[in-house]
Amino acid sequence: MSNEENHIDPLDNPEMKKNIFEVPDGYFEQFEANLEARLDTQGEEIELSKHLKEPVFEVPEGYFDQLQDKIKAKLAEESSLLSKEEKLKIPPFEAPEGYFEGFEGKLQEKLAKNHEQDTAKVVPMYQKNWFRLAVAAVLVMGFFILSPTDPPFPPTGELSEETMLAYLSESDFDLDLIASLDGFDTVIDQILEEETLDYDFDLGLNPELEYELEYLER
Amino acid sequence: MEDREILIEFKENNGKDKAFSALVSKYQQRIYWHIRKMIIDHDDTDDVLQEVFVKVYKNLDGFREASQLYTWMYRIATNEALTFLNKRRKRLSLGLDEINNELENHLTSGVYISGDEVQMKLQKALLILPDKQRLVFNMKYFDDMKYDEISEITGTSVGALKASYHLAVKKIEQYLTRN
Repeated sequence: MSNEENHIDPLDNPEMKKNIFEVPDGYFEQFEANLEARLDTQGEEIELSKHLKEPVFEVPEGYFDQLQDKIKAKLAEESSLLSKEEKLKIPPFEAPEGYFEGFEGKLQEKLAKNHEQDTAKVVPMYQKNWFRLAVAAVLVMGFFILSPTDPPFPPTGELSEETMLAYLSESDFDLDLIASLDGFDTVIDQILEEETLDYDFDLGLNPELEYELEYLER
Repeated sequence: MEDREILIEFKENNGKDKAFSALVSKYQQRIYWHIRKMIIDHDDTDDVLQEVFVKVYKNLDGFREASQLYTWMYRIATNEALTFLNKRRKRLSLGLDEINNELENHLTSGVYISGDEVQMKLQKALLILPDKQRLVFNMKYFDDMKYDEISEITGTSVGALKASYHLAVKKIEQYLTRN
């Protein structure tokens, strides 16, 4: 006999196919009952969870049916007179009769007059850079002159932030005021705005002022 | 004439006058009422209206069309009206209450003003508001403008405008209820 003929495949051994697992005694007999019990428990849990999600609050009967009307009433109450009274939306002003028909002619006259003035106009003093610089210089000087008791200003050059803060804290400057300003430009612009408003107004009353300024410019 | 056509024609030398004339006819009333509601007096409004159109004429060439033409003109009118009130306040050294008294005098003078008791009461109530809040109220309440438009004209955020309008309404309602 050859070796090949003597070989037996272990998987062919019927013993190998034998189930080695076991179940507890009576497992299958009780399985159905166990399953039913488990389903019952799960059902109870689901019911409980559903129940817990139910709101505990109640609304009066018919609440939601009346809600829309209530909101409308509230809105009407909130908007009060301003929207109740339609005529309030109409401003009580009138223009003289024929005003709009004659407006354009009046405007053209003004434009022509402006054009004449523009051709002979000089640049107002407040628009000159030197004027801004002068205001800035006066402000800076005033800033220090008005603080005669201040300690001597440290030598110019590179000053650290700490040095500046130490200097300012020894001075009588209002630090809050300084902190509240965006910079000197704010002050200058504010002064210029105030001054030019007055200047504009004076110029409107006295056009000859412009010629005086022209004289000063030379 | 459409705004676009007006602008194109204005920028051509020979069409300037015709285009400007069309612009004035188209917008004079809207701008007039916008200013009038702030300044109250007709003669003062007339001065400011002319000044607005003079500024428009001088600057229309440089208008970059980033905004609509009427929004741009409203912005000029708004600035001019507020500047006028500020100037008057400064010139006469008046406080807010005093200038409001002066505006109220114009209201009660009855010159070019016609309104019944309720309408006049609202106008008086409006005078208790600061100028800018009154402006926002006018644009929203009387002109039914959208907050976006008002925002573009006043340069204020929509949120701030809503808050301002809401406060204005509260103040006015309080005034109307008290009086």
